[in-house]
Amino acid sequence: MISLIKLHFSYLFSWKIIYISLIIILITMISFVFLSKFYVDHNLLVYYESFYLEEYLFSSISLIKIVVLLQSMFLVINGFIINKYDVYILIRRDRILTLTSKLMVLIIGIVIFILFLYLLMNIIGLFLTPYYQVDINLFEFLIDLVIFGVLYTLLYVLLIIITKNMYSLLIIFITYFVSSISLEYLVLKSDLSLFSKLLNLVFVDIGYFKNLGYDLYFSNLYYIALCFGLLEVILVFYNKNDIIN
Amino acid sequence: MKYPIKVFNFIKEYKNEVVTIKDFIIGKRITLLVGKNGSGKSTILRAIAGFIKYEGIVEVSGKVSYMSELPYFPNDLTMDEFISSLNSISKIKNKESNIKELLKLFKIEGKRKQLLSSLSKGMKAKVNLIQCLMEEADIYLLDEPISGLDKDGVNYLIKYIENSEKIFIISTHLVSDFKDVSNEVINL
Repeated sequence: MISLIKLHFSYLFSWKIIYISLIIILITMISFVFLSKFYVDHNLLVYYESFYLEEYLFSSISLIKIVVLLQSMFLVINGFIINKYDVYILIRRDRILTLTSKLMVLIIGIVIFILFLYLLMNIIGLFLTPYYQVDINLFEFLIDLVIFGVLYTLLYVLLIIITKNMYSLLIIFITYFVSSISLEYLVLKSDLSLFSKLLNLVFVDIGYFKNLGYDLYFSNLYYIALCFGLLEVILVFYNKNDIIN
Repeated sequence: MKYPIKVFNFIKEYKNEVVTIKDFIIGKRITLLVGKNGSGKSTILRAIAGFIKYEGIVEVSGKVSYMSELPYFPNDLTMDEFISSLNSISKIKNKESNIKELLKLFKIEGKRKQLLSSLSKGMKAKVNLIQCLMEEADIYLLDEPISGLDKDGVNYLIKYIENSEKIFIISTHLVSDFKDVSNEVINL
């Protein structure tokens, strides 16, 4: 298993992919810097600190979610459409092991990417602005973000294995936006529309809820169970489908 | 191992066509699969390798190694990295000296540090062939192995097959290249 994981790492995270990921992180970092409003008068930032803090967090978190979705899509397309190397592994190892190790590598990759963005958001907030403070809700947000990233990565993988078409992933990306738009800001969870609740069953978004702060609509445990369910379905489809046409 | 491969009532449905293959048994060491385009040569090799789902029976006795018609190399890797990574996941690891010998035989040992994406079509065909031959298996499935190979490459391959004791099943359009070495020709 270790040798398989090493192989997937070297195949999926070539220098080209790492450079592209670093460029994405750099662009996001620059965006964080501007979103922090560091150029606004210091006294003004202190006077309206709660407003600026809320605005910085909301904009940065929205940006992180979109960037994570795009990065995940990019990694999945690279791993399943651009690099169709599975044929070489499957002659040596079985399907379940091959795909499980590949998914593990993809998930590790996306989690590391999320950690980078999360750290940058906090570091820039702490060092560039007078209003930023790290509270417990932000740690919970990190867990939500990891679940969010893993869940969408698995959804992308499932769809690409079924359709074998990279453009089909846009369906998931667009559905996320629908889910995001339907999720109102600063409402009670119970006040959400049925449509929004149904969408959040699968196409989750991290919302900002009254009395709770940033959170997923259903419990983390539900989404973790959903990830395992998706993993099972992915393995079934991968086992059932043709590897090469 | 008298009959390493038996195929009965084989049907493969693709989106726009159905491939039906007549029953056959392979019992000889070197078998050529010949037929027109779309007759199912590649399809049956993929079925034997376990890459596609189908209706019917395909019985395989022994471990199989496979060379696809087109290479599906991972981008941005050198030939050396590619070959050693595949060897690292093999259940029976091949000795470095054996791999070197294969690279020498096909005259590509000097290209080991070159990126796979920068190799010529012929070189890629050779790497694709080597990744298959370096795997310890009982049966080697070669799908159009000479497409992209130059005359020397074809001769090296024929020499290798002749000297080997393993079973080879080769799909090809050009029977003439293998006619002296093949023990059996199956027309699909």
